[in-house]
Amino acid sequence: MTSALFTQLLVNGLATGMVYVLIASGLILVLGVARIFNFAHGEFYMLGAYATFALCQVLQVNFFISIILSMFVVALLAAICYRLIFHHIRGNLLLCAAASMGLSMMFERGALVSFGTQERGLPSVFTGVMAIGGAALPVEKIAVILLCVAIMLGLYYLLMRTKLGKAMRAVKLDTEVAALQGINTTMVYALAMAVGCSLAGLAGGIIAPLFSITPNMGHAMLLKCFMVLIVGGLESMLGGVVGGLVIGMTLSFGYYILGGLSEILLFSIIGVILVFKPGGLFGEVVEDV
Amino acid sequence: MKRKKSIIFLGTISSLLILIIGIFAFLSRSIAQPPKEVKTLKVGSTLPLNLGMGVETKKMLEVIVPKFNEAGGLTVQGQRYTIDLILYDDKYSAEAGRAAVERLIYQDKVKFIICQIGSAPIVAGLATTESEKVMSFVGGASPKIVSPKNRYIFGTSTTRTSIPPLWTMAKRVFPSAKTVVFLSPDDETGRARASEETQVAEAFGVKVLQVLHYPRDTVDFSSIAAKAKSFNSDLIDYPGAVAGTQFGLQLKAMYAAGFRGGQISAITPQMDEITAVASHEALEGLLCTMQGTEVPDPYPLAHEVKQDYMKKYGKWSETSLTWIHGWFAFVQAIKKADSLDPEGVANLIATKGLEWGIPNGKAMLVKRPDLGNNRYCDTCAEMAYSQIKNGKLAFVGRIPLDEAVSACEKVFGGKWR
Repeated sequence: MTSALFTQLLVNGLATGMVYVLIASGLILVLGVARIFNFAHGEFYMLGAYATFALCQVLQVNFFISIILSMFVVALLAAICYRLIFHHIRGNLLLCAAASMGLSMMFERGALVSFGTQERGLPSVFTGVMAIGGAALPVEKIAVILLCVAIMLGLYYLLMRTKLGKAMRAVKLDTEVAALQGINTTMVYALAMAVGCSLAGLAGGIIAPLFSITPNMGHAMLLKCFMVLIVGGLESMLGGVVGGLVIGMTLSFGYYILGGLSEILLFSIIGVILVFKPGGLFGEVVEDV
Repeated sequence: MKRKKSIIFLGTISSLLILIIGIFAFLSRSIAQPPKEVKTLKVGSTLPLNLGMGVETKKMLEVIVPKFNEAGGLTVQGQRYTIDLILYDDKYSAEAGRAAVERLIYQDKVKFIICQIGSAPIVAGLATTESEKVMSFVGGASPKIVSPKNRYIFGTSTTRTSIPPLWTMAKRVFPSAKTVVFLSPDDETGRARASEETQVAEAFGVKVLQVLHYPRDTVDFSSIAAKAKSFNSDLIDYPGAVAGTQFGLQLKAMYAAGFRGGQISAITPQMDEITAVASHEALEGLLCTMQGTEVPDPYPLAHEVKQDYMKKYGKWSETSLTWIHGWFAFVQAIKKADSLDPEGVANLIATKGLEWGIPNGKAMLVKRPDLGNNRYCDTCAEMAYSQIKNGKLAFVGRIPLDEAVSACEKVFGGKWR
């Protein structure tokens, strides 16, 4: 493998991995704070992509404004879902999981009815290829990496420096003590759900010009995010980042080495990690979520 | 004597009167007789209505069948028939396909099935259509469709015979090409198409450096494209690819990986979908098939179907043409046999062959000695080709029917005519 090819695969892996990081971070936030294993997370990602598509193609809105608007649309939808469904069953992990599965089916069917089975695509905003040291690096991949890094820094700021972030972390540590400190836990749960799902929606918007948009695109992404969580640890944000990058890189280099069999490499790596770190790289063994 | 004359006169007059009355009676009976009643002939079809190609084929059939009926329909042994097309969704799956075929045969009592698309529903219904002696004019890529065991099914799309003509054109457009890499889906269709194209490419003196398979639902082709590019082949070919967005993503990834060689594909890309995801530069120069409606001098049939379709739906869809060859073959077969007996029609065209017109030009049934079938069972047709120039399909040329058949004979062997 030449260095140019290595660089190309590295950039591809980073771009894909950063998208996984973004979506998995949302999933970790919802699971960690609101204690909901959200099987509809992939569908929020899909809705973000469709919202961006509709805003860009139908209403001719600028792409960057579209992804921001899509993020807010998805956040609002997630908050409504929380208030109408999860608020009443929160605490019962199994019931929440079942409800989120139902929600996932509803969203998928809704997208199918609204947009049809036809694959949709958006023209790329960042066109062209950069040639660095013989490696052909698509500008859009570099842009995705930078955008995702910026969003993750924003999320880090939100969680570590703002009142809302502190409240979320407090609720995650101990709900009752946080409530005794005057934190409106119900509001925090709803906001965690909204922020977590909006990250998925944002990723959907960012990915829309790169890949195709279909009603069932959320399933495969959710599966990858679960792998990220298994590799990094269920409730660790740092684990989510590392896990996302590991999965992205494995798939990128795996496709090159093994082609369609790269998933075998992926599961082998996950297996090895779990043998030595059963709770994931940065997590602990979970007895009861 | 006078009396005798009177008797002769009266006799003559009486005979004349009887004759005149007889003539009038005959004429009046002929005039008063109602015309033969126009009968209805039920014809079935199953299409994947969960996919764009199924929906578009249905829309095209809903244009051409009513128009055919309005123009007088079919006349068989002096009896006129209008076609009642009964269409069910086969969801491109074996289970739904078999159920739909059984419904057509046992409930609707059809004796002819046309224009099915997917191999899975066709093959799933094959046992029933053969045992019930129902004649089928179908698409699909599976060689099982043209197996020598079958008597009543005829492959009327060019999916199994379109590769040799494509490579004939590819050698004209890229005369110095010596090597090729294939990008193909990792499923039965993809592997079968890649295997067939390998045989064809090598027959044309082009070495296949690698066949790269990808999962059918892949959207990120970056790594596969990087690997394909690393072989530095003269050509990239996409056997088994689908014509829409995913194909655009493959072309885009190849361009992003730095590939600037020639690209060929046996499909007609859906330009609106692929231009939505890939830049004009990424598509530039791709050699692919072109629908007969889009060539500079379309045949009258191509012009007519396009006009009729646009009159009904407003916007033209090239996809609507891809799978309707079965309709034209069915009409021609019935006309040739002048019979509605599936056994008689099937025997006639399987032994004597069939030629018919499609929007692309001429088509004919061919034998498949390479598959052990010496009956006329598969279809070769005139093909038109284009290259993408600045985001649009630009006509390159045609491969006439004779040349297409000769190319198939050269590659696969045996006498096809």
